[in-house]
Amino acid sequence: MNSALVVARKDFEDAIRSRGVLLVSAVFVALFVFGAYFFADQVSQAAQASAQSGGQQGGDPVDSDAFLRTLSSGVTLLVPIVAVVASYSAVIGERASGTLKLLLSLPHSRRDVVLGKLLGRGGVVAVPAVGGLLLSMLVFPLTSVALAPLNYVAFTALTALLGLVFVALSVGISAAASTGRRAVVGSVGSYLFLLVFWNRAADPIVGRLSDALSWEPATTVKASLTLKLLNPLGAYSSLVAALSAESTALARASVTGGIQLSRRAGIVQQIYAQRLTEEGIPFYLTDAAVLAYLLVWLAVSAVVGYAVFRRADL
Amino acid sequence: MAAIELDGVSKRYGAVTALDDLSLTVDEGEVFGFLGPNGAGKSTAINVLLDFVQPDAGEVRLLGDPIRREESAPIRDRVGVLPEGFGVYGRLSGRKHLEFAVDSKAADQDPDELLERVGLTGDGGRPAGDYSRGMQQRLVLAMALVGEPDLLVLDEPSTGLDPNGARRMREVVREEAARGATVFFSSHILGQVEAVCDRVGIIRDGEMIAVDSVAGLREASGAESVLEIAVGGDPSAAALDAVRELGGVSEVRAAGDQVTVTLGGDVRKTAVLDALESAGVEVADFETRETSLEDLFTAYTGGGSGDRRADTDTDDDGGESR
Repeated sequence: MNSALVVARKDFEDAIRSRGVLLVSAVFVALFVFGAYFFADQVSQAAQASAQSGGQQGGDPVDSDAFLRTLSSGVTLLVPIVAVVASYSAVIGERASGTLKLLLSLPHSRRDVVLGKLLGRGGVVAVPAVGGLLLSMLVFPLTSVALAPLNYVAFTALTALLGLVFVALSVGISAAASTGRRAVVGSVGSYLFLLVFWNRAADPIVGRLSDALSWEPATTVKASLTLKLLNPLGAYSSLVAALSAESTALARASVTGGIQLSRRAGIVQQIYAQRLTEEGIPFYLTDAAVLAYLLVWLAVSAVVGYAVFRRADL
Repeated sequence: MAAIELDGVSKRYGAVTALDDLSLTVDEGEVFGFLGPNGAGKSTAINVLLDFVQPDAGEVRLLGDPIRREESAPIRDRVGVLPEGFGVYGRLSGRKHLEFAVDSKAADQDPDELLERVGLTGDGGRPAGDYSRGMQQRLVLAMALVGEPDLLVLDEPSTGLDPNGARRMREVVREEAARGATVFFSSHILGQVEAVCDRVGIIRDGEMIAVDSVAGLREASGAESVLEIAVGGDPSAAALDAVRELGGVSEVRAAGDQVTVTLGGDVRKTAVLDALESAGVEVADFETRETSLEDLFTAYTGGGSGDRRADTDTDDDGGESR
């Protein structure tokens, strides 16, 4: 068996024996399955209420896509946290406890260790997330809410990828860090930076550039959206939005205006989407490009972490 | 081909020199003891061998192949390691640890047989985190044996072992050597090294100060062994003189019913005991205190008469350290 796979299997077997990981799995399954159930329950109650009051069936028929839209903002918060918690000590923890000496005494290279950790911890995060989501699909046939299975599976895959990106980020930081404290601060700090500060910093930066370089409004819109889509959290939300949005332009514009959908944010999104529709979607704002941004985060995190770890003395 | 070659290896940590132009060759098939006090550079030397630490200068070869960063995994396929300062995966069972080592080396061995060899029969199913330090030491020794390695590198293998475990460890080392493996073995517990090693190297301040056979070192240091004899009643002066007249006896002292005889050369203990008994002294019990490697070590590093270093201290206290 490939060396990295041996390390990954060992890591996975070790991790699934920890209570924390069992707890996380339970939380994922509960959140997705009960989330789907309560969502469907609410929808059918609302439908009954409107039927009893003699009103006509209002708006579009609700399907599971609506549930995914509701779920995605929670997933954006939760999955990266779980990934960070599951991975920040992946390498530095073994370095501190001395088990890394067992690993590297066996015929594994440091590259095998980083890759194996990426796969092992990736499994620890992705397996319960994917399992919970697939299980929650079974709820819909029992309710009046229609299941859109392809979008559901695509959402599941994107969520697993989001988890893997943050696992890679944390494993990379864990490999590069010389102490456990640095790994924690680095991983949690990176997540908070991406969640809270990235988008806040994006608009002033684009504004300055726009002023300095006298950009067209359309250029400014594209630059602003691109910068926000380079954030893996933004890329994930926009790809999820693309599953059910009327247009790619709307899906891309959904990253602007923050995570909470205020009315003002909605208006900004409409304006951005309109500009984008008029201009046409450039190649760097297509679904494929946004997916590539996510994959670049995954690869760069692992490679940079490995490059530092490779040179380190134990 | 040498099993281990260190050639002019240096390593500094900031202002501290851990290894200073260290050169050492361990031949294939020998059991080599690597001795030194804490901070002498033993662990750094082993960490360099295992590619845990990158040397500032010098060449390292294991089993003929040079050790370079990230290229040593194929070599480690043929090396078994008991590292110093290791940890175990607390949640994984002993058997899982061995399965991991077997998978890692693509070996084909029964974990239960390995557990039996190190005296952990029946403990394989328990999480390694519940093991005592000595049991963890045995477990990692078993991991080192996976794949019948050509070279075993054991860093402080006796740490945490009870006398029984230490004996078992020596047996394993002898078995592995008999199979043809080279064993490189660091320790500060000198009796362990003395008991199993063909040759011994002593390191101090990052430099090898002596490499020799155990017997050769003993001879070089001019050290002697001591025979402690418990006798029934005060021995007569004539009896003590009879012992003194034996060739190779350098000192005889009596205190109450205890006679202490210092043996310089190849005197047999039985000759001393016979001399006492034929002079009418009843021998109740006796005990030999062999010169330990600790004595040798002190002789080499403490500036004793056996010191072979070029820059021998001239103002030493002249004490044959004992």
